Amino acid sequence: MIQQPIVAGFGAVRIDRHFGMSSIDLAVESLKDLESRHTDIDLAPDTVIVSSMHPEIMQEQSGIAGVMADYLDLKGVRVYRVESGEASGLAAVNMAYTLIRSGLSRSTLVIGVEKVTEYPTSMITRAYSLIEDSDYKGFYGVTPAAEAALLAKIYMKRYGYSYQDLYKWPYLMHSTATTNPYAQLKFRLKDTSYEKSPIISDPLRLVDMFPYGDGAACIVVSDGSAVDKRDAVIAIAGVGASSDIVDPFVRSDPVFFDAVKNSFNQAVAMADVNRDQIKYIELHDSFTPYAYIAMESMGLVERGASVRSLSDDLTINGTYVNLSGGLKARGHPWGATGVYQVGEVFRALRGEEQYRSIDPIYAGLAQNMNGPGAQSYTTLLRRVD
Amino acid sequence: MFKDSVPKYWRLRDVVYRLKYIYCRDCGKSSFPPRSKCPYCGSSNIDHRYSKGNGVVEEYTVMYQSEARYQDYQPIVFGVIRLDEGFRIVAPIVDVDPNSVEEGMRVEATLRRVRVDGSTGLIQYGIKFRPSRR
Amino acid sequence: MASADNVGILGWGAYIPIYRISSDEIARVWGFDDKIPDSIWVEEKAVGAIDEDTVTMSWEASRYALMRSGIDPSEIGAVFVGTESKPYSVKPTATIVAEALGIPPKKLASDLEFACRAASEAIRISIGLVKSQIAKATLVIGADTAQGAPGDLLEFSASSGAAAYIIGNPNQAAAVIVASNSYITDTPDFWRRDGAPYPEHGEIFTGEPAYFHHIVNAVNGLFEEYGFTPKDFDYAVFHQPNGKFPLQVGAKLGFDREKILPGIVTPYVGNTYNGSALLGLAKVLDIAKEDEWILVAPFGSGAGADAYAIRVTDKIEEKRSLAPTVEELIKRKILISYGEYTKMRGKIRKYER
Ligand SMILES: [Zn+2]
Repeated sequence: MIQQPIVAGFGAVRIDRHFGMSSIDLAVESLKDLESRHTDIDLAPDTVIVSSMHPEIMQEQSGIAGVMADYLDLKGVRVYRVESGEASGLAAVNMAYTLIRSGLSRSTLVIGVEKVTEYPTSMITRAYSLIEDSDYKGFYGVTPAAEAALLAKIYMKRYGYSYQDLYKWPYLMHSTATTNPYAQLKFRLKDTSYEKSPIISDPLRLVDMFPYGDGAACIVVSDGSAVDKRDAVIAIAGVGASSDIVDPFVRSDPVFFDAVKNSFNQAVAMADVNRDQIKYIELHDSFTPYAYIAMESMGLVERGASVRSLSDDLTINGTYVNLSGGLKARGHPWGATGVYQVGEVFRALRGEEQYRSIDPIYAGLAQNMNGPGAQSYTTLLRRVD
Repeated sequence: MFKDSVPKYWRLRDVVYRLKYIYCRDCGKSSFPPRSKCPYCGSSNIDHRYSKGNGVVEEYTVMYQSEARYQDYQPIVFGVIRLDEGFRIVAPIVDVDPNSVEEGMRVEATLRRVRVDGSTGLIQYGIKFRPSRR
Repeated sequence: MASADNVGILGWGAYIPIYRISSDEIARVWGFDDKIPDSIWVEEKAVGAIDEDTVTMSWEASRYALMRSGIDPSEIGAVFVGTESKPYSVKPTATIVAEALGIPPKKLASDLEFACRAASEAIRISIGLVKSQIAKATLVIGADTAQGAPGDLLEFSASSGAAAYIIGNPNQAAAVIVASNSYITDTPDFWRRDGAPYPEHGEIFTGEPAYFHHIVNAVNGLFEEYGFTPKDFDYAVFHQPNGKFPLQVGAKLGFDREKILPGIVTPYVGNTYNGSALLGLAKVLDIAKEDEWILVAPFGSGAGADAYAIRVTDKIEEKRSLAPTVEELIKRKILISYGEYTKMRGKIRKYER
């Protein structure tokens, strides 16, 4: 019998420089948050999936899923680690969905966790840069920020935007993140804050890049046997995953991400929802240009139109995006991010604090990618009414 | 973190010293770095060739925040360079004032240190680019 | 003429890094009167960029030499790098350069050290290899990122650069090495101990008993053995630790200034050590005409000198335009501050993190 995967609960720690906590400490805290948010669910996972990009480098830990399950006092469970670069989080949720749907698992705990601030910035940048093709761009020292800068220039030139036009995105992300309890950056930007922001790779500045921060988020995906019934029940209605040529400059169009488009379309096609019922999207905005390219690749707006079409209330053609503050301001602890994103969509569908200003919505999705659309994953949630 | 791998650098020497690329005999396109199948059409009917190292800058960025092993070279100008053999590469452009780089600029290959593994490890060389002399 | 060499220079190539520091800037930082650099005639010196070293400059000069030679890299049977600034104490520079140039494994390859004349020794070795047909052609490179201790007088001149030559069949040559001679003694005028970052030198002792004595004897030996006189040569190129010494040694040997000045490079790019006299020769090959004769006399501390009698052939014109001239490389420059220079040349002590 095919099971309908349900997101039974979500918990997370605020993303921050948690110098005092290890990845395991962070995971423990995120579970405590889940338990305090969903007091009446019976947490008895038979499976633990840990999504983490760099536990070997940042925590000197291989086999992290097993160690984590042990410290969480979950003996005898199946453990897996899922890694797909900075898209590990949604890749892990995809796997949890599959386990539940196949009937192999009845309740899977997905823990996205990343310790990022364990070293000085240049070392963190080195670790993050490992997502580049190691034998080529990695050898030349091309960082993800430099690659994003090149794509930003191509995008701006092709569609006639200035840097100031693109600055709208970080400005709005900072603004909306101020009320998100899980957000790392809780300060507003001024219209001109970019002028004092150091250039990371021209034209992109520090304000155009996600902040380095540590985090852990968890969700329980179940077959419905364990679920918090006091509020709306949220199902995973569809998942998508696609990959592309890793180097955007070999693709036919470097500033349109086919993997994003394809994973989005797969998830929507799988779900029994209409496209116009999807009113909330958490998208992957590690660097400013990627937010715009992701919106266009998902088809929210025609190519090149996202910058001018995005409203100040963070709607684009009637769909809300990144009310959480996104990777830019909520934060981007690499392998944990996808789980945070699912948590935000989950909270949006339940009309929680950060999402009270918007009308009740039936369906929403998260989009998480590695690099500039090298691999992309989509998880579509809907209410079970 | 670990020291840089010696066999890895050794394996890459044809690619990083001489810009070894692939030419697809089916669709006629070139691509870099070399791989077993053409990324454009999937054909295995490919030749390995070496670039003369002359090309044109299509786009560039000046990077001020590099990873640990490249900090001595900051700021680093990275160009998207289209080689005369048809393929693109993202690589450093040296011997140039970052303010004077522009699209359409002709560049040529220059062998440089790409990274140095501490004071005792390998010095790793590779092709970078500089404004063409002639 | 007794047993002439009769080996060809198939191609020549020069490389001078784009960065320059002026002698005035060095004098300003260290508090020297600006007459000091004037007195040795060094105006500017070339500074290798932070990612340049003997390997990379050797590759550059060799590429140009190969372009002019018209031969395929697979015809090179030996690669010699004369240098006193090896990037690795143990591990040949020559193997890296040869691999990057696409020269196949069937070859000799090594680094030679004899202060500033190691590359010149490699030319004499190449004459033997080519004449004995052990190698069809050889690649000889003189390259250095010369070290001068901060604040030492040597800092005005010690610079970065390279010159490369393809030695082979005289019938395809731009110039023919007609005869050569060497003069070598144990004279400790300049040295660098193992592990020491900068050399020590005898200052004025580097002059008379070292530079002048050895060059004069090498050249006079060549003249006596083969019956040359200064009048037989249209150009004279000497090792150039500064701008003044080559003019002085030339005068001692009976050469007019006008024959020496075309091969002078050090006042504009500093002393490139193993590149020095060979860059001077390259500069002369850039302008010389068929049947003109060139005297070349490299010198290396420790100490020794060589003397070569070279005759230009009719092939020089067609080869000249195939790569940048020394004059072009001298003119292409970016002036930098003392601070940038210390960073580029690793003179700032950094601690590994
Ligand atoms: Zn093809």
